[in-house]
Amino acid sequence: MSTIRVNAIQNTNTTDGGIAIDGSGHVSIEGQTLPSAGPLSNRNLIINGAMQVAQRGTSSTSSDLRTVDRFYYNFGNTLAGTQSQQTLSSGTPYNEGFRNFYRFAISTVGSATSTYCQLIQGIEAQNIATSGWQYASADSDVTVSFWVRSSVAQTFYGALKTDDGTAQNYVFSFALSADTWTKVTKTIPGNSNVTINNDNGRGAELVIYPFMGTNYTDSGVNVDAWQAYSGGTRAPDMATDWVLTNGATFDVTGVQLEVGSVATPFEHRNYGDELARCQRYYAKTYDQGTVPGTSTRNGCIASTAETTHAYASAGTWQFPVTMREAPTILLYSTETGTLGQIAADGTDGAGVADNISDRNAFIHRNNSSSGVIQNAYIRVQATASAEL
Amino acid sequence: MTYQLFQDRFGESNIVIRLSDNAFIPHSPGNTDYQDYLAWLAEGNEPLPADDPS
Repeated sequence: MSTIRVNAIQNTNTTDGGIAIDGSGHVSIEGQTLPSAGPLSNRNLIINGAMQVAQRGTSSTSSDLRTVDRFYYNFGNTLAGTQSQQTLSSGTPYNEGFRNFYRFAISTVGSATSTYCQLIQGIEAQNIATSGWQYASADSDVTVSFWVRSSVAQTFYGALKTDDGTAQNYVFSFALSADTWTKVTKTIPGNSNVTINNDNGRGAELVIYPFMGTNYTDSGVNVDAWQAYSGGTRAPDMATDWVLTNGATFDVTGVQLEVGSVATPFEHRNYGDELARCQRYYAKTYDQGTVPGTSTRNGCIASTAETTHAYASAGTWQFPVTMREAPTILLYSTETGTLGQIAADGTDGAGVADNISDRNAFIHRNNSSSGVIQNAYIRVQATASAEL
Repeated sequence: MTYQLFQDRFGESNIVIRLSDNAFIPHSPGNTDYQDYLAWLAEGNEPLPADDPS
């Protein structure tokens, strides 16, 4: 068998485009890198990586899952700020098809020791286990890529942390210039200490650290290496420029985690596809643009009371997709938006969700509520959370 | 955090109520809120008893 050894193949009349082969054998066509492993479609193990879907709302001053689906800024210990889904209107990520990014903006600066601020997406274990990544082999890679921008120049860190067995952590660094979108790519090999179960639990999490205080970091942590995870050694000690700047921002979009040793172009998915993936973990009865807790009947679960009782059924809520696990249910009155309430005509009463499965839940007023007149409209809005 | 047990009209209980936000948490091992409840129980805490069956 013969081998043609070339670095590039181009048309004889142009130096544009063509096929390029780099020193590692990775192939690019017209500048677009082809996968080195794994499938050609459904490559991205991250859900909502383009920050399109924000079912809970678009802005919040609270920590954790409040805005953009599947991602959350986990922050606290003197640090205060706003997490938000933002619109992207120009720049290189915009030109690559991104229209949203996920921001954290500081309103009260943190401390060098105890403050934490980390952007996280938990990844369902079976999605990794069946991805084709031989996670226990140093010869098999996954590659992380994302666009990131900080208002303050600094070196930041990120990590891929695995959760099954003995938790493992692979930390990487990236340096940013102020107010400049930068694409970060990091190829991560497998490791014999990594365990990923084939189940619906949290198998791993991708973490980006805007800041972690010295309570959570250690100067001896090595980057670009696997180590057993410990809460006090999540990353090397971090500079405090960003966390001590009031009004500082940290923006991320285009997050991708894929099998193989190259970062291929971001796998854009249409809004409907991405929403359905998100709904495996969080769903609501409201219109997509309506924040839970809003007083509205649109989309509500509704029925009419057939007899005069204190209790009445609103009906069975069929979730839009089968959820990861039987979810936690919150109820909201359609008339007042009040948490835990179901409206019977204009009167709120205590609601109940039970017989909860990964497909549906039975919603009704409980018998400690005030009486429900015959033919009253029973209306309620709800959310279902099966997050990791 | 405080929890309350729940009984339906037939005396069955397959959920627990998180009182801070009236969340209905199924007894489902992979539900992270249920895992938090089990951890809370393991710390020696006790949930409030159920109201009369709904």
